[in-house]
Amino acid sequence: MGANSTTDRPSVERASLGSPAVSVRGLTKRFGSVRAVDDLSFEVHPGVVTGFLGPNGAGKSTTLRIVLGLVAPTEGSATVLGMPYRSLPEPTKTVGAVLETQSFNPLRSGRNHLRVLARASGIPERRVDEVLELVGLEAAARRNAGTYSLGMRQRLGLGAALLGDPRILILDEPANGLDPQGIRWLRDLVRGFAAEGNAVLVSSHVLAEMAQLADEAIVISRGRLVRQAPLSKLTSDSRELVVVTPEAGRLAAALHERGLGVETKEDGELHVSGADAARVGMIAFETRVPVLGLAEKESSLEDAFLELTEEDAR
Amino acid sequence: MRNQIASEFRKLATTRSIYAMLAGLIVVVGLGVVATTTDAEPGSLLAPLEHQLFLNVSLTIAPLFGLLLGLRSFTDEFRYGSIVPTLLVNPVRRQILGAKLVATAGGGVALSLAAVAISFTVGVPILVLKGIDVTWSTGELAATVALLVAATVLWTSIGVGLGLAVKHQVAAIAGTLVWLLAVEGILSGVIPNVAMYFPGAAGFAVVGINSTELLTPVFGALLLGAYALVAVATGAVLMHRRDIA
Repeated sequence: MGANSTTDRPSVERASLGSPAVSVRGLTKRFGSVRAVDDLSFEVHPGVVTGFLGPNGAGKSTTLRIVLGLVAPTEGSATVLGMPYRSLPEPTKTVGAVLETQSFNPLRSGRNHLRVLARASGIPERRVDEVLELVGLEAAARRNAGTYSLGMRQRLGLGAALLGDPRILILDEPANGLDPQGIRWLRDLVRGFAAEGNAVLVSSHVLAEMAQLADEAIVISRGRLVRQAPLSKLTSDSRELVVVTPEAGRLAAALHERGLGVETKEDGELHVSGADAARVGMIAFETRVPVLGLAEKESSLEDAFLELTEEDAR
Repeated sequence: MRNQIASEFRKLATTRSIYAMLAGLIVVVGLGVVATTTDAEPGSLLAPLEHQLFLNVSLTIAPLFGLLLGLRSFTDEFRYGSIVPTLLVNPVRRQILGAKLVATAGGGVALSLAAVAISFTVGVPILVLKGIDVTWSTGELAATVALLVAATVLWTSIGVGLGLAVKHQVAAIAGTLVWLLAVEGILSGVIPNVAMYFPGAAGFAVVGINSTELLTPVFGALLLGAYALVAVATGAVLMHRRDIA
């Protein structure tokens, strides 16, 4: 990846990634009587893309803003490499973040937007041009940012995040406004960034894109942690078998006796969780129940996600 | 801190706003000078340069533009959301405030000097054309310009503080202008003994316009400085606590 190829990085900074890249402990944020974030704890580790999932209004953005020192927590703490963001000696060289699409003066050119930010953190001008090339904005660099399309604005935001050649990327809904080509570009960028040993925390409510992007998943709902697990485990845990049998009642009882999760559907189908097809087939055989169909249904990430967050809402 | 100051100066230099303000200032002051000199009673034009009536245009307009520059400093960032990257790059909020005070002060110096320059560029030839012998006292002229610069810079600080406290650009600008152009004027008729200590009156006192009804320039500057301090302190306290959401 070009993202890290040019700037020298002292070994001290590399060593410091022994601790979690981001650590959130007992985090609570109240806005009036609303608990936007409720006793939330999780960690983000280097070398991994961590997806931060939850429906709109679950508290993702608030959490990220607390991590970045923009919002003060009511209780608990959020640290970056063991330090509060506001105490980081060189924030841009540690964390790059994209929070929202419109975060620039529309009457300033994209290049000047980056030059202003680079100047504030003592980053040399040539890095601005490198980053513009990296995010594919060279051609539009001298145009006022107000004329940019949504996708170009996202690229400009990413450019700002990458200016300091950071070790950690924090992206809030970065795929918003990107076309399919842009999403693939983003995915390659993020995956490459993590593969170099950096940490990525990326939030989304559009889960389809997470399937190919994230390794770890943190699922929150109503400000609370619902699940932190490898993304693959999240989907496999929600795997179900669909069994078609004329004697649904008997088979359901037998499966239930053996501790499996069974749900009887209206048309006589059984949805079984907690076992593979061979085990269910054997149980049916032992119970002397004919099986007319036995299929594995791998639920999509979207289903797993809805299941998790709906459970919480009940 | 030095990086942040440089960044704030770069912010000023990289949008059209400051150039538009300079251009607007030049047009307004230029026209104002033409109007005051052509309408003036011939006798009043005989005064030395530092006491020429046409200079009052600069002395009124430049501080007002300085105030607007200050008001826009933070409210632009809140309005466009650029406060987020600004604070991500430098999360030490008092440094952002300090850097903006320095940068807008620089802008204020430029605005006031430009106003004076255009006043003389337009005014002096008109005097000469009218056959008036142009005189001046360098010391008094320098003092007038210095007081104008001081007033404008103090107004930029008031603007920065108020903008930071209010956040909303239209509310901040409209509120300030309504106060200065309407409320203060009305109150000065009702309670003149109190109104002479209001910010607008203090500002006029610094530049010595209608000095008989006003405080001395030095006292005016101290009072205006106190207002600036209160505005900046209010903004600083609010900014330190504020959630940027």
